[in-house]
Amino acid sequence: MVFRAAAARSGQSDVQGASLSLHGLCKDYGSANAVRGIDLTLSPGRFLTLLGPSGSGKTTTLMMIAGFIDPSAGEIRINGRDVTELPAHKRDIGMVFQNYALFPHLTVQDNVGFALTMRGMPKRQMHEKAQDFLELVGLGGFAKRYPHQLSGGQQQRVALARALVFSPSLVLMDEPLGALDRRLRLQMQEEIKRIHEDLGITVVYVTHDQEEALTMSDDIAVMEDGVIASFASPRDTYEAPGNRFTAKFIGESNFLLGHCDSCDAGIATVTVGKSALRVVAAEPLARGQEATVFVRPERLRLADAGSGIDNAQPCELISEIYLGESCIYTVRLRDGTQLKVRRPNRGIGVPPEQIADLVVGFEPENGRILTS
Amino acid sequence: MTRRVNPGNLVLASVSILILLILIAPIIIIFLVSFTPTEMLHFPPPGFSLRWYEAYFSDPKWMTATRVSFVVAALTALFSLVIGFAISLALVRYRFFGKAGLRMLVMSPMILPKIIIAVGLYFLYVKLRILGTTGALVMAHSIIAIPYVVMIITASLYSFDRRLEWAARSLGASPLRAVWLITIPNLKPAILGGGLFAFVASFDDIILSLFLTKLTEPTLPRQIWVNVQQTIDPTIAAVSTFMTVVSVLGLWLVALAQRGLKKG
Repeated sequence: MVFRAAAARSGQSDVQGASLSLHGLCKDYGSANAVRGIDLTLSPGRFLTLLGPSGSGKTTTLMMIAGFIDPSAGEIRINGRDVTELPAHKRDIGMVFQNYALFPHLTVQDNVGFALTMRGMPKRQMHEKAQDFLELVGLGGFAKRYPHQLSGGQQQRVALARALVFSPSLVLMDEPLGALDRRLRLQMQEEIKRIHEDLGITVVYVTHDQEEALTMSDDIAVMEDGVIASFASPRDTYEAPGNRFTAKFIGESNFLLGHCDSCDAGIATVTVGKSALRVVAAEPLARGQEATVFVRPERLRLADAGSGIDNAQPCELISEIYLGESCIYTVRLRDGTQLKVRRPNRGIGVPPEQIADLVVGFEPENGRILTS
Repeated sequence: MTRRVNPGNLVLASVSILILLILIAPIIIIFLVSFTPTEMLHFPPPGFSLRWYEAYFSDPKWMTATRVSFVVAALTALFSLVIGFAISLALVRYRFFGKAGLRMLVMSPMILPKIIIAVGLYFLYVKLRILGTTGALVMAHSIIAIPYVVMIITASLYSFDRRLEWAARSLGASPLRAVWLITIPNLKPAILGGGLFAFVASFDDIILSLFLTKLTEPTLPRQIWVNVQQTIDPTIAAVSTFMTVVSVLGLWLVALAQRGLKKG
């Protein structure tokens, strides 16, 4: 609640998150289409991550929301108000950039207070409020320094304070932690989460780091080729991806291609090669329809043929990668398909390399059927 | 490691020093001649005297020319910086029809013979009845100064991180304010450098000045020219030395300021 307190102390009402909606948003650069029709609605206070490989249009989408890139088509609404034609400096959106984009010729306090100066606040008052926000990001003693005298992590904190000082209700972040090392990144992730919860602001966050997306977001929009391939909570995005692209992009995945044999009471039987696999089907499937069975490596189990696990398929062990807390095994089925199996290093059970008659299997509820 | 004298390096060093001497010799000779006590240009000077500096600084003709040169060069630097900066922004930031054409047009005075520009402007200015005015000369000098400004400023604009401007705009600065408060302060070294080049391009020019100034209000180079044709006395050596000192001083000041800015 510290941030809210600082905002209140400076005589401002509590920050409320803004709602954001995009309707048919497009951007084409000459012949290339960077963004090809984005529709999404974000309720106030949510943390949305746009996740995707480079070139998927996530940064272009963010820059259109910010007002730096003009959409070729479509509409952007903030709190229901159409801002598509509104210039960037009138949108009141906080923005954090990947390379921090601190003004090199201004001191830290003048950087943080820049938005206040733009809003006509007198210098002394501006410095006081900048100081409040600097203290909140743990940089109280750095007000008079210049950006180049700070480390990367410190610069990012200044950038964060600068984007929040004018109490925006919507904050956009473009890969803000991309340039930091892993430990600092984890620390900053927590800090950003804390600030988000304290202030109740709406955040749109761009990253290509799936782990970051999973740990920080309320919603994840996975982008592919300028469209949203999936929009869901982190858990659903990981455990019940709607399509192959999403399944492949987040985490490791195994795919088994087959045809639906029967579908009954929410359980589909899919023929893959010579074996019939029973998998939970979210939607009914037609007989003979093409279906991909998708299982995460940690949901697959290696066991002895006699143990009677579900969906058992004979296989042989090809390789083993030791990761400390777990092992990744690669196994080959009779038809040549290779699967990855993650086995937690719990110190119980028979190690797969000691099993003579090896099978790989999974419970029906641990698999998913993908049709696209 | 012991240093061995390589015959190739020795030749290279000697040739370099020779070329350097040839380049710098006129300046040294003029410098020495300017202190001659004699009525004629003498090298080496038979004595030492400051009489030709006195002659320069006490002659209203020379003083008028000096003032004209400084005023025109300063205005040219200012004018070509404003126009050059705007053109640079357009060339670097925007895509528009005729961009390649604009770039060529702006840079063409660098390769076009100055005499052609001078003759063309002469007839234009006569027609417009502005021949001999300070403003007209400033415009003419800006034509030859702007390419330098554009070359230097576009180079640094290309490497300027646009996200700084975006950050300013997200914080509430209008596009114009963002350029004024963020872009320009960060391009100061380039702007200083471009301004100096524009100043020198104007301060140095003789061809445009010959065509476009009044005899009563010439620039320094034109006054030297007139002097050489009429009297040839060592005042021109004193004036030339003074001009060299001004140019070198300007260059040194800008280098100093740029170093200070980079550190700051």
